[in-house]
Amino acid sequence: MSFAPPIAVISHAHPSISKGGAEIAAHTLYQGLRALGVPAIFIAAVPEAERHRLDLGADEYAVFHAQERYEHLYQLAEPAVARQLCAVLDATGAEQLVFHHFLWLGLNSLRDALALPGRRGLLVLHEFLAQCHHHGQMITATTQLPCSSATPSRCGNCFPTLGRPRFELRRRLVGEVFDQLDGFVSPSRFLAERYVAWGLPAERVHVVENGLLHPGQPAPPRPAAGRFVFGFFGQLNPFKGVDVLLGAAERLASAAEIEIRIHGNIIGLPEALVARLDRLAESLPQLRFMGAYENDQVGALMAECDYVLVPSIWWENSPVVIQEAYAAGRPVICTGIGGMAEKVVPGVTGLHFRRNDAGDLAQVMQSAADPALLAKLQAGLPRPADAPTMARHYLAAMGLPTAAAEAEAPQAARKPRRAGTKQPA
Amino acid sequence: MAAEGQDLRAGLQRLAEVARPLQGKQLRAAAENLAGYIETVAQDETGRVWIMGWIRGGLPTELPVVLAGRARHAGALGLFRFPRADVPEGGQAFIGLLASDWQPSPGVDLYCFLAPELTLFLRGVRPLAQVETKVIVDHIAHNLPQASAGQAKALQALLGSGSSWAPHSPRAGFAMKASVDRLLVLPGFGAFAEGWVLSPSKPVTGFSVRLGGKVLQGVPGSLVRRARPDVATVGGHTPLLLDRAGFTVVLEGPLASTDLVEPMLKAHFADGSAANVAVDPEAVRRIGHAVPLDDVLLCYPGLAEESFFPRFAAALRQDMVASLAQVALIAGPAPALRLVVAAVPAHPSDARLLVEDLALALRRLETPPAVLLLADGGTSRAELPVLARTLAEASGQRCGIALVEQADKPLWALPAVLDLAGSQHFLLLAQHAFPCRAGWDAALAALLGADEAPRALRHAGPGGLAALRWTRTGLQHWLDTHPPALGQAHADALLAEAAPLPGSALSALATQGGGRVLAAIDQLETAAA
Repeated sequence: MSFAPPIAVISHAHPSISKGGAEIAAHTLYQGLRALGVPAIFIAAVPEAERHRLDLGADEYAVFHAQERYEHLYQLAEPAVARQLCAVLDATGAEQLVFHHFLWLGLNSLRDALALPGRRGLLVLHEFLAQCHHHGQMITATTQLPCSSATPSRCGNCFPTLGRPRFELRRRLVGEVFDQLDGFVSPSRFLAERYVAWGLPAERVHVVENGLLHPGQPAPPRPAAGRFVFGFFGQLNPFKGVDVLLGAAERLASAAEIEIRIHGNIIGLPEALVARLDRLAESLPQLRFMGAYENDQVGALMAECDYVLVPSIWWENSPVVIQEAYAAGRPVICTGIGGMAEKVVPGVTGLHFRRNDAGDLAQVMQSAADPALLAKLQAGLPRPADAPTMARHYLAAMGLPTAAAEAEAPQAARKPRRAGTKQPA
Repeated sequence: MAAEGQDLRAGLQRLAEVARPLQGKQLRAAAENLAGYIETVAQDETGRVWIMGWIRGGLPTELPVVLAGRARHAGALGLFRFPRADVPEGGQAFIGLLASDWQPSPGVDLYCFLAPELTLFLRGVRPLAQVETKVIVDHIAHNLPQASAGQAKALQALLGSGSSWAPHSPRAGFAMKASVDRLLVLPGFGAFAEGWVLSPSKPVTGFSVRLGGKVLQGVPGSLVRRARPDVATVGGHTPLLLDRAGFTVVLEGPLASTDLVEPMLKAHFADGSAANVAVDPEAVRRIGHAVPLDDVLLCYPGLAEESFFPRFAAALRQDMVASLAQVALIAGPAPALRLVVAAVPAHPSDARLLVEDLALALRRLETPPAVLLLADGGTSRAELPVLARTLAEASGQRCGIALVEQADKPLWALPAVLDLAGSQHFLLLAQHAFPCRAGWDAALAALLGADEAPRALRHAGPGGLAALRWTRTGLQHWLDTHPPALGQAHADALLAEAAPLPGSALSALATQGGGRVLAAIDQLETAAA
């Protein structure tokens, strides 16, 4: 088996620009393939305005786009984005395409790329964007309640100014592009089942868990120092449940045995919530806002906590932060819905609380402040997959031989790398 | 206006009805039947036509007439006679009101045949002098004492009723307060006025409105009264008045689009007097421009059942068709015998999807046709060149852009668009239509094919026409004999003409009623056909 045409891992973002779970997962797959000796290239959509921050590695390419020109209802990029992507695929000869997300690339780019001769495609589903216009979160736009089924009628009710017919058009377009793909990968069973219920053929949907680039060894339990530290890690956007966490912090104002640390960037938070965060971080002695962090610091920062909190109000898929917590040897307290509930086994690897219920989160945190329970949960944590393991599973999903890849790895690894044009015009 | 003026006006209307069936009769202006001359004409601000001249003695002073000029008009003439030195023996001078829809036109031969025999006639001198109303007013006042026959005072009252538009003053000796909340106007027809009036001493019998230089008369029987308890603070303790202080009235008159200024309401009282109240210009709203057409139904729900509805419908159709036929070419397409004319959806997301779909369909062709985007004010004008560039790249030819009043009703503008593009064959894509792949391919193949017969793509489900392939000549011929609907079914009649294309289209918009007023107008048109 020869892997001469490289596999193209195509992401909606580049990790040097943003560090969302999807682009991290995409880059981890790319690194995993390379670690196996499988020729691979990484193609990322990059905002024009961020071009100066872009740091491309070997065999990495960028297609540039103007975010303000992206069409969000029908998920269409400007034609130039599709042309750039096709030019890279032409230049590199990549035939097997693994798309992570289609945001910023646009469904039109996927359609054009898959129409190139000899191309085969796999789409990794990171959320519900194909089904849900509300940021792909399956949370109703007005009432912010979980939505269990996307149909044109329901979506039309959710966005009454758009109306049902536009969601029929959206569904038709998504369906046409998805028909061109050979298969889909979902990092969680939950998401996979939702997409199958929505209409994807079950036989074309594979569940492959995200891996971590450097899982490392779990940190030892923290020495008992009188306080239990609960850490939040990630983007502080409204869907991540920051409001819920702050509500819990207020209820735990007199709980001297608890400390809450919030790590992350403030993105898209309403001003009122930012003000609330600032005010509570100043007024509540047990709440600390730690600010942004580099990805390679996450293990060390988690090691300084006893638990990792994932209070998202949307379903989530397979949050990387859960894998990172497990890698750091830390149990997870999460909202008991969707992909989070699937990844965190209550009483074994962590605890659940009711969605959007600050009081319940506070109670669960108080009950978790128990050395025996903490020890039990730490003992039950699984080991996350590493990048090569993740890559092997993807190769299987693509119908490519994993054993052959490893057998050929030494030879493939010795092949000189293509110089490539990093930033095609 | 005095009661006698009202009686005369009603009497002339009845006489005009008598003349109506006589319009088709043979008319012959034999010299021996000349009964006099019309020497002067004036049109007052209500649109009524006044004439002066001389006439044989012994003829009735109110009689039905048939006017013959460029066209024939049934009408009635009411006059009073008085002596004048220069009139041939046996004749007398006259001043009269010509009640018809004839409009003065200086260059036209005018014959006024006197019914019911239609042998005697008055002839208009050439050129026919057109004077200001004031001249007629002065002549009536001057000759009234010498009037020998006819309702001189009634004619004076009729002419005078529209002549004073000074606002009501408390010095007039009686109280009257009124306000117009909404004055919905339609050029070519008139207006719908909604408001209230409080006149404690003089009962109000009707209204008229002046706009610019035109006076709109209340349509007899159209006045609706209702309680307006909210104006109690203005009217004091007048509970009986408040019970019927609110009013809605339909007003007709020769209103032009240039007349929509300086609105004034005139309330007519039972004693024949009248009082004027200035209307807030912000109350004036043009139907179909500032307010949706169906707002008229909120004001006057029974519109479609009224006798004046055909005139309203005709005016609205004329107003709409005139604007819908206008085209402004922003960018010419590449000269092409065959042209895709794509009506751009108003929603920017839909516009992007349309262009994406069309570009994809064009790229599937070896020799793609030229494209022209047809957009209206609902589309972002600044976005159009970007959309056109995408299509130009896909077709390999310059993409044109044309602006029309309403891209969802393109048929009136389409011939002009095709002329501007120099195209004979077209594929029209309806606004908000999104064909499936098979539909696109079939429609484009039909455009490029040799068959010139009309072909149509339907919307899926109960929807109407999504795309039409035809020729300019074929379309023009059809338009000459089939006025397109004003409402949602605008182009759907073409479905009966055109053979179906394979495939179908989705619409970006839910099926909506195209408007009840337009539907009623279309129904009227269908019934007339």
